[in-house]
Amino acid sequence: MPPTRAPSSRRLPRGRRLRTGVVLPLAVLAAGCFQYRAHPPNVAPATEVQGEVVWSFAWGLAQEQPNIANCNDQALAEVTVQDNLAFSLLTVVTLGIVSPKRIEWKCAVAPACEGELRPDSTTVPLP
Amino acid sequence: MTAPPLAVLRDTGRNRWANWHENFEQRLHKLYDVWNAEPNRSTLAGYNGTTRRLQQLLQEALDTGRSVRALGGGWSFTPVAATDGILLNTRPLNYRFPIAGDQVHPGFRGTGPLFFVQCGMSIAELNTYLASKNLALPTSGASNGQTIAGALSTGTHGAALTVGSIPEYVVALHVITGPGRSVWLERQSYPAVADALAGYVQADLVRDDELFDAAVVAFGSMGIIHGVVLEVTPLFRLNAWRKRVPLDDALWGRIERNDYAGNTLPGAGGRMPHHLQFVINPFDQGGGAFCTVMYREATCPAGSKPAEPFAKVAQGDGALELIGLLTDVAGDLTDDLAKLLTKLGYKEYDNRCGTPGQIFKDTTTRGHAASAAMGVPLDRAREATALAVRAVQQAKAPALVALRFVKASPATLAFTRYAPVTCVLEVDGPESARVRQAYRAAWNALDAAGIPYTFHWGKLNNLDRTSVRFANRYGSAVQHWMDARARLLPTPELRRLFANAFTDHLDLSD
Repeated sequence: MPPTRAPSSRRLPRGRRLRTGVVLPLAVLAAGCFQYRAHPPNVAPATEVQGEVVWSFAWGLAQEQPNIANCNDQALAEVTVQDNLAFSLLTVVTLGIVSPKRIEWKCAVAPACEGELRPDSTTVPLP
Repeated sequence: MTAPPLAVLRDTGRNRWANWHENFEQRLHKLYDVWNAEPNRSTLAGYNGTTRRLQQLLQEALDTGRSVRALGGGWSFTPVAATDGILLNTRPLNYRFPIAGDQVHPGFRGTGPLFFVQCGMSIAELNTYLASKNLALPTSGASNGQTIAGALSTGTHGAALTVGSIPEYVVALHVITGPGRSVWLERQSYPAVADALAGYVQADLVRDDELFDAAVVAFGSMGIIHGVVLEVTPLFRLNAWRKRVPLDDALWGRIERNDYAGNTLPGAGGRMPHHLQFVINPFDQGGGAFCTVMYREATCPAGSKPAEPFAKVAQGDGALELIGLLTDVAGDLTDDLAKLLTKLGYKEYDNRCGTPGQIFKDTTTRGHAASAAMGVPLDRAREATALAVRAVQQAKAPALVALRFVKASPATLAFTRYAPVTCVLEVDGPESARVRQAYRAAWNALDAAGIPYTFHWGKLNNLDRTSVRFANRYGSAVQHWMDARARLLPTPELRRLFANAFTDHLDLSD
């Protein structure tokens, strides 16, 4: 295919400039959410994401813990920490006395050992 | 004598589910995580206990008139796997059983070792497990998060010119077809395991080419695929390059003839490509397309570098949403943001080498993505590509156009159906109004040009009950597939049990 370049204008029309200048920052602010993820490579998640907002009080003197009860005794595959404008503002306004964050996680699959596809004499056939 | 330990169904408490790429949300009655009773140890008793528990659930669903679908990695961009009834998260189901020599069918014509694995095993897990035995999957998609049954059911493909898509190396299926029955399904022409194994999993043995070819790509609508037998291959390495190359007349000639003898692709040195992909930035073609080419080797050549190392800075989870938002508001930013997309996702490299699991790693694309993929015959690929590029340019959509080449599949509804090799023309970008506009324009242009094409079942499309039956799409294959489905699910109630809005929309439910 011969190389082509799409038509492009560097000088935006006035309406567009207004939209870009006003709407864009508002839209970005509305969508703004910082996210940090920790996950080891090649570990498959077993579950959908679960999460909750946890609060830290008095500069870390007390803190909430997420209640992870859905993993069927397996490890975590992934943990995500989310911050947003409201959380950040609250932390700044209260001078760190309260600081919320959203924690999300996915459980890991079980590290299943391989088995033998042979009948087990202790198991009865299905009815 | 004890009863088989039943699987644990954990109610997630959700009544909504979103796919991995977050481009749609499905309302539902229940979403259960399904765990084997003994998740850390693969046992036949545990496997059968999971079958039994799923059958109990199917009975409950029949009694209450709800549909049931098994969910894999959730990577599809369409609600092909979803239901408003009961969704079963099968990802925790990862038992694995090597098929011993005395368990292989005496008429097995293959060469690779066989493994029976449970539906939820991910490509990442399979890569790690098989590599520990000096073995590998013959091919996979470009990432590793799909489950084997999910990737199979939508005909997921990589870019292996001579291997094809995932259904190519699946040689048996264990399908739960209702509360009282499950079926061990193989091709008559390619028997895989000894007859006794079907009895071990308390299934009816069926060897039938038409049924198998229909069930292997059925997007969950022929029952719950609980286990599959894979024919794998000795571990190999992929020696990989990514460079910008001009998609000129000479290269298009090779693509159209499917002839790579004496090619001058990056790193070729007389070798035939195993994996070949081109990515075009419609807003910056001066430097050529990004060509990713990999050569299959038994060991890594001297002087090659390890697969791409860990990247400290990667594309942010919100990057695609932000790009979609910015370009919807101000299309003039598209040029620059499309370049940013290529910078983030398509860094050039040379002479890297690793096992398939080291090369095709965790995906870095998260959040609010869109993707459409069309299967096109090789002799129309150039024309189709030009139309897709133009559609993206005119919509000022922040999207990239990719070409991959996949050996045609015999599966009845495989979208890689154009022999000998189907060109998979993909348009990927953020989920945004401009990208959707580009899709519509590209599909209209392909239709207007009379180019035959199919759609990837797990990606965005405009199929409806009429167009799916077009002769240049699936034609009479649709009826063959429905006949096969009626044989596996002989009552209207069973067919309804595994139907969903996707199959209703395409008039494939009954």
